[in-house]
Amino acid sequence: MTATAARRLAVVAPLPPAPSGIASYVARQLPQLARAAEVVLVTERPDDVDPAIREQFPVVGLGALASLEVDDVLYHLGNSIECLETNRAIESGPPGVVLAHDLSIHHLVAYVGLGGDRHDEYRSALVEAFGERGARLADLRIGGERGEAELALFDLVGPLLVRHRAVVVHSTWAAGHVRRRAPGVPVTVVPHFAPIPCRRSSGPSSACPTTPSSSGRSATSCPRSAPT
Amino acid sequence: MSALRRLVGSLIPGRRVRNRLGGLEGSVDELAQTMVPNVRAELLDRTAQVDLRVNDLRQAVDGERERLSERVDLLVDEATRRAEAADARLISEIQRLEARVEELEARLRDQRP
Repeated sequence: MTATAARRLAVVAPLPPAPSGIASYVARQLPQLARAAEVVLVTERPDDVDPAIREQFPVVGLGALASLEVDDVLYHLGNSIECLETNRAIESGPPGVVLAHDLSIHHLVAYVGLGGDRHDEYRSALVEAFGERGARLADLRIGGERGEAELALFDLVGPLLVRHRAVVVHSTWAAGHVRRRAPGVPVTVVPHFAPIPCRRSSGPSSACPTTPSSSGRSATSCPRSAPT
Repeated sequence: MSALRRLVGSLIPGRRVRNRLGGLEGSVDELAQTMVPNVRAELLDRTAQVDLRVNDLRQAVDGERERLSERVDLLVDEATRRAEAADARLISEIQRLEARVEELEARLRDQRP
């Protein structure tokens, strides 16, 4: 931890070895987050988390989230079964910042709601997000009319995002979509694994942590995230 | 005797034939008198069954058509909303860029001697 790591940040996400790209993403992001804040990891099965991560960071279960004394919460939103419980935390946990890895969670909601015979919950989710149109779609799909296109178009992310303080996405297209689904919630675009911007006051590059980048750009060149 | 001759021979009125399937035996006329009403009744019964089946299928097709129509309506509606939102964003971006171009052009004019 650095001297400036006074802020306590709860990171709510699936973690390795969970078979999830988001888990790998979070693990890779942790060293940089730890430079900026005191990180507490919140996940579904804390005892199963990779020991190497548990050695470096406190890891607690999702049930502890509401009582954690933290300055902010960073949620990772995803569309796989590994994200089911963390998505529920996004739905009911303390308001924070949501990093949206997927712009539709309908596949996951349908998997649980239709596959698990929880039709009322599925219908409620669609009605909450899309009103009367959602009810019509739910009735169709509960009745067996189940296409793929609806899963992308009727994305169900709005109700999860709208109650939070900010949303982070990886592209400007995604930002436009989130603004439509969660009007009024600030949206920021951060490209995948963009390095943390330099602290100009401490020198042009000294505070820039190195970050592996497939684009080959220098980690100390401080490419801008795109606040929008 | 060829199969064709046997078939033709079996249709000659008065010739005694044996209906192997039904186990009946008699002349073609006698068999016809016995069998035609039965066949007619059976055909009527099967026709009624087919009608019922066709009706069921027609209802199923109508239901399927209605569901597909509803589904297409919903998809088109949402896709249209998305397209309109994207249009609005693009128009806004174009306007922003046009304003920026005008600003730069004005600055360029000001810098010229």
